[in-house]
Amino acid sequence: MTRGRISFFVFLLILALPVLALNFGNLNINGLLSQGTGQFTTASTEVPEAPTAPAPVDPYQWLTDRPALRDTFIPVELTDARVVTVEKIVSTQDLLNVGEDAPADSLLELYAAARAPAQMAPYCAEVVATIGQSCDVTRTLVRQNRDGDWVMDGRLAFLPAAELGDPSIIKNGQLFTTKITLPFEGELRPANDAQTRTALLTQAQEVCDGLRERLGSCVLTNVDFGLEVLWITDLEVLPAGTNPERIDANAAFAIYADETVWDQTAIDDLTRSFAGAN
Amino acid sequence: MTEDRRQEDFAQRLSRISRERGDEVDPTTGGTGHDKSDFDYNAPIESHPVRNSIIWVVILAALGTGGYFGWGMLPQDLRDLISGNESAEASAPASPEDIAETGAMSNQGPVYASPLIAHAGDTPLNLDNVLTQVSLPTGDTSIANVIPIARNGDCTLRTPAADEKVMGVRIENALLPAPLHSFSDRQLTGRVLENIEAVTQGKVETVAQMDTQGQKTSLDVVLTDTSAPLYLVLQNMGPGIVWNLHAAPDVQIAHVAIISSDFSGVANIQQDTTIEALLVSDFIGPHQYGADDTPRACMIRPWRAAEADWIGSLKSAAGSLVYQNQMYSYTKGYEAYNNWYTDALGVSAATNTVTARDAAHVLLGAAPETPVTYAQLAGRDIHIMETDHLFLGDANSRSAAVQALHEDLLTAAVGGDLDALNPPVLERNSQ
Repeated sequence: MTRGRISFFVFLLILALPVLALNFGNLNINGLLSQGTGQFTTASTEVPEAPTAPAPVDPYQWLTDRPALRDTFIPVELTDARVVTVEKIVSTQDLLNVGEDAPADSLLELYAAARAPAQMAPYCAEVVATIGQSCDVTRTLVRQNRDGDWVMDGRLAFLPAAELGDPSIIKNGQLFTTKITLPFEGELRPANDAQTRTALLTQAQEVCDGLRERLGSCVLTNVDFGLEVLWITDLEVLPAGTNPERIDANAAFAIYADETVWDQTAIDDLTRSFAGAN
Repeated sequence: MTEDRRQEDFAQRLSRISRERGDEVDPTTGGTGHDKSDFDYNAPIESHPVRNSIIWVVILAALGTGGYFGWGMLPQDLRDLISGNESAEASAPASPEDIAETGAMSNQGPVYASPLIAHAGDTPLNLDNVLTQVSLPTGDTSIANVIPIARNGDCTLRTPAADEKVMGVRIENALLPAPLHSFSDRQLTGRVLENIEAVTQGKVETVAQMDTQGQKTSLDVVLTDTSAPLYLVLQNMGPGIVWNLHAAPDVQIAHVAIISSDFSGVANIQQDTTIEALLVSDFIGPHQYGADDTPRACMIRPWRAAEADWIGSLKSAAGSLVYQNQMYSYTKGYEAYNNWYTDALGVSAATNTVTARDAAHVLLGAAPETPVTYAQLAGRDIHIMETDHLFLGDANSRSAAVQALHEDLLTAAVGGDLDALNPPVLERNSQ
């Protein structure tokens, strides 16, 4: 009998070993062992933190905790997640100020790069007149095309003027992104002028407003004004006064919606329906 | 002892009941062959091999699991102590991030900071053992004249004469200052463009302090070989170097060939020394991965052969793709460069050549029995590749003049107002 009891006790003890081992961390065995073997480990230099005043409450903590949403939905910061991208073609002559002598050819790229931000700044006026509370030229790139003109690509970050919706109240939320080509009438794409661009920005925002009303949230994340230059040949002469620069306008949206109700296809379809209705 | 037989009587009753049920009773034990109970006095203990095996399997499994996790929870240093495996970390393959450059060895090869002297041997020498009356140059050292070197228009060098000995130095950066700035218009434009793009592409808010260029460096080359007139090939891939020569008595410097990625020069040549210079960018474009891999005419970018002890080579061996690519470029670039060098000079690019990534002093030849007298830069002529802009004088005035030149070009490029590089944020209510 005694032998059986001892065997049973040993059996229970051994069964308990894994449980004890798995709880080494909770028992801070590592810390104790490290202290005991100080010559093998670096001594901790941590000191207890002094009590500090409670941190101020972040009104956007919900977004801060969700990096995938934050830059898109934060309503008080200019971020790279909400930009208007524009393209402008500038001749060397138009690069220079009135009465300014042209520099040596070797300096033209330098001049174009240095003057690109100023060339892009007027586009910000169109942004704050339509979709933006504020606008900043955050990036410009310059290249020379085969005609010798300077193609300037600008990125304008903007703070949305419209409501974005409150993603924190949406149940089963999932971030969807969708993109459309803004529709135009006639055979030619719309001309590249301020009036057209303003109308296209407004059109994109109206699509977003419709999506937000239906889904609970929507952010206009990008309006891209790509340029197409119509070629004038002997065979195909443009009518007099026709602007050869045409806009290929695309708009992108981010929506935080209930994934149990909406999927990507449904949101794409809904976005296109709103764009077609406008 | 006791006379109490109640338990024995009870056992006999149980045996009788069993017999009445027809069970065969062992007359010696009063029970059946298999049915033993606590009521069976003196019953022999049966072995249960299957049951016991299962129990022991469970016990051993529990031991193994507990030991495995418990061992894993111990600190690494304690585990090494217990197991006596002190070199566990050393024997484990290091990750590239764990391999760090040292003061003497960089990713791209050895670094010989003053007072160390690089030479053909394995162990660097000390400045005091090789040079005497040392007066190292500073950024304020006053020199005599700057004599321009007309760069070679063709990608050729004078062929060494039969009685000349070709010796060379090939490095990337010299570690001593030189009292001059020089740069081309193209370099000036490129540097100002970099400053502009730093703002327009969002890296910085403003051009608060222009990042300028053109500061030259210098490097001491001690020459002790008197066996033949020397044909020196001074090669570098980094910023321009003023190679300051220190010849021991009876050393004859017949010719200096400079091959450099920047505007470089030489000082303290001898009366009859001839000079020629190849600027890499006159013949080949900026390096891009793979561009220098193929041996071809005029592949004059002076690559050094990657060595196994370079930190970059160790990182490459540890799996870093970046350094695998970089070491590949060094290896293949050197093969192509050596091909051109051998064709041009008749000897391998490794012949009588000292290499390092960075150095302040180099010895070509045997260590001298008595230190060589230092030939200081002060008051001496500097022969340097001619280019568009040259600035002399003390370090502060040179830097100010170079800064002003860069800023003038930037201001002209912007059109006057530097704030136009980064227009202010436009607010809706400011319209």
